[in-house]
Parts: sequence; structure tokens; C-alpha cells
Amino acid sequence: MCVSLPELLITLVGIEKVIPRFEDLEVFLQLLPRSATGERMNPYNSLWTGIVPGDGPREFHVILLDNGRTHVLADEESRETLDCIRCGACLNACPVYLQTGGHAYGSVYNGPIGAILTPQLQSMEYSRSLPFASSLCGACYEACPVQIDIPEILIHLRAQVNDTGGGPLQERIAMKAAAFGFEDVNRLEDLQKLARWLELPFEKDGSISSLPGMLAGWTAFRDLKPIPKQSFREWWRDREKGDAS
Amino acid sequence: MSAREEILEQISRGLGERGPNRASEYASIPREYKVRGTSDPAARVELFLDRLHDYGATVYRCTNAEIAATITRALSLRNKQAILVAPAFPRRNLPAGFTLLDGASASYSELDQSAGVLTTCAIAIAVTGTIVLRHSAEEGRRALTLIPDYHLCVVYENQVVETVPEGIRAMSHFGTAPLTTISGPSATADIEMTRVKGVHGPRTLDVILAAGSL
Ligand code: SF4
Repeated sequence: MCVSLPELLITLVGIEKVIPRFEDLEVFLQLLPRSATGERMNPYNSLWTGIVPGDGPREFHVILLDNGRTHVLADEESRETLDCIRCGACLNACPVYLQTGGHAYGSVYNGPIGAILTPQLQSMEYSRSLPFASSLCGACYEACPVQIDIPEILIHLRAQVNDTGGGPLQERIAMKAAAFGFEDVNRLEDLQKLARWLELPFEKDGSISSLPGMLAGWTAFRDLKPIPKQSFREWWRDREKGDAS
Repeated sequence: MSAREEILEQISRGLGERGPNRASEYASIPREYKVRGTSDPAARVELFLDRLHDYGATVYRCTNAEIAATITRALSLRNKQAILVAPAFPRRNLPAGFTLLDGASASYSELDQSAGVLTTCAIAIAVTGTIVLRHSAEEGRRALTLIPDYHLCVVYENQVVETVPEGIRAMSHFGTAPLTTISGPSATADIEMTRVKGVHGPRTLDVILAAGSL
């Protein structure tokens, strides 16, 4: 779009950008500007069909790039990532992107599409946290002109992160502990009772405003409510006994 | 194995077993969008006018016989004494009393310093207010309409199609020439969705919409 008068034109094209026929441009030239900037048409389009003596570039090279794309294609559950036309509508719709901005995604592809594309193109090595950078609200899916189900693919990638080792050590320990706690109702109730005792020293005026160690990171910005004196199960049992408060 | 073979093999492997006929698969893609226009010629031209106005272009309407006089009016209103002309711009439509410069021989810096350029176009698309150049001798090479800051373009009413698909299908017969589509004076809204003018081509676009045909 921004190519004005190159004498030498080298175009790097991801293989998923190739469309079958010239006429298929009628689909993409209608979708792209409307979804990208809300215009009817890009102000300028330049179309080249090789080189023509006397006008346009004198040398024209096209480099068709795979770089992980056939790998994405092979995964049936996330292959539709390759349908993306890079319009950016999902970025503008995304509440996470609006708060964090583009640099937080650590690659040229940011926003919701970046969160699914970057982990797949980089084989997940450097972007294990990206699939989690979403509230799964689905605003991207609604905005996407080619209807890529981004939330579904995010969940698919989250599963892949877990299957290949999961998050940082502390997080994995915390998750294991939570699973252990929630596994058995008696165990959960015992843990609740224990927690009511443990939190006592930190509780002040009905809220917890400062916790020690790693948990201090949480309370630096927000208060925690203490665990209620009575759980729903406890209240239910008391009610059956006939002395519910 | 060459990179090309390797990629092609991985594509077929990635897609797995597929139906035997790619051509029929392509043919069965549903295309429920509007392909053919439904307006009559007058409404189609009105739609094109409306879009051009929306983009901030100045539009003049005239008959085929009045083109030269309308060019005189447009250039006078912009205080232009001299203008570059596409090499095969129809002679009979050239205005008298102006310095007409040969657009074919001008260097890039002459184009840059020029007052503007006068051309025709290949087709126009009403619904998007788009002018399509195929860079024939009537329209001049790409540089002629990209570098000067003012473009005066003559569009004949019968060159106007209604929809984008109609336009693209017409363009598919234009051979291998480079094509440029212009939708309003050059602008980009890429950055923070703010429209900035004069990024790719001329900041000022005047259009003469002439009844009849080239
Ligand atoms: S995922 Fe959809 S909305 Fe996001 S950039 Fe790609 S095509 Fe546009």
C-alpha cells in the first residue's frame, strides 16, 4: 500500500497470503479497509503483475515465506489462524490490548491475533505466557471479519503450554496445591478452617491489606476479603439442625 | 530438496487427505456478496459524485464538448498557469492559454516542482469513489500521478462501474501493466486512525466528470 516508486521491489510474502485468482481481490479489498480503518477503500492501492518496461519497478523479487506457517496448517484446531488478513479489528476491540498496548506482546503481531499467532510461529518457546494474556471475553471473535475463533484457539494453546511443562515453578506448585485442596470436600473444609486462623494476624477492620512474602505483590495494589466466618456448607448443616442464623 | 519442494510437501502433508478436485472446491465457495450493481446509470454517477465529495475532491460535471472549457475553469480556480499533461491525453480536450508540459519526458524533480498533472483514467468505482489508473499513455506512467501535488482527472460517465467486484473484474483484463487505485486525495489513517493527507500521492484531487465516452 505504501509502495510508491521503487526501482527495485523485494516483497516478502507469507505463503498464507496467496489467493487463488485476481478476482478474489474483490473480497479482500472490501473486507480489509472497512475492518481496519473504517474506510470504504484504502486511499491508494498499487498492483503489480511482474515488470513492464518504462513503468513500475525495474527489478521485482517475491520471496514466499513459510517460517512456521505449514506447522500451523498441520494443526487442525488452530489452522484458521492463517486466515488472518491483518486488519487489526481484533486489537481495537480487545480490552487487554487497550490497557497494555502493543509492546507488551513482544512481537510485531500484537493484540489477540498476536497472542495466538506468535506462539505458533515461534513454536511457543519465547511466548508461553501469551495465550494467557486474555480474559476470553470474545470481543475479538465478534470483530474479526474472517471469523477466526480466537478464544477457542487461545484455550487450545493454553492446553499445549500445560502439556509441555506449564508455567513457572511457583505457579505449578500453587496449581498442584489448589488441585489437592479442591479434590476432597473434607480436606477443603479443613483448609478453610486453617486459613481462618492463619489470616488472623493480617486482618484489620474486615479486610487484609498487607500479606508477607510473594503474596505482598497482590496486596500492594488491592485488599483481600478474609475468608467468611461461615461457609455455605456450614450454614446449610446448621440450618438442617434447625439453628441457622 | 529445494525449499520450494519442501514447503509444497509440507502444505500437502499439513492439509492431509483432501477431496480430489480443488477446482470444484473453489467453484463452490459461496459468494453471497453483491457482485453486480443494481442502480441505473444516473444513480450510479450520483453515488460516485457523493463519494468524491466525501473525500474532499472538487468535482465538475460537463458534456463531452465542454471538457476543454471545464479544464480551463478548474485550472483558473486553482491559479495554475502551467500543467503537465499525460502523453496521449486527447488533443481536442486540451485548454488554450495554458503552458502544457510534456508529462512523458519530465524528470522526478521536474514532477516534484510542477503545478500539477492532467490525465484521464481507466475506470472508476462508484461505491468506493475509486479512480483506477492502468498507466496507459492517456494516464501517464505512475510517477506522473504520484509525485505532483495536484491531479486533475477526467472521468467519463460510462467508465463508472458501481461495485468493487465489477471494478476488479474489469481490472483483471488490463494485462500486466501496473495498476493504481485512488480513493480520494492521498491520505492514510494507519496511525492511530487519524487521517493525514499527502502521504502517497497528490494532496489535491479535482475530477471532471464528463457525459458520454472517451
Ligand atoms: S484476527 Fe481477524 S480481526 Fe484480528 S487482525 Fe486478523 S483478520 Fe483482523
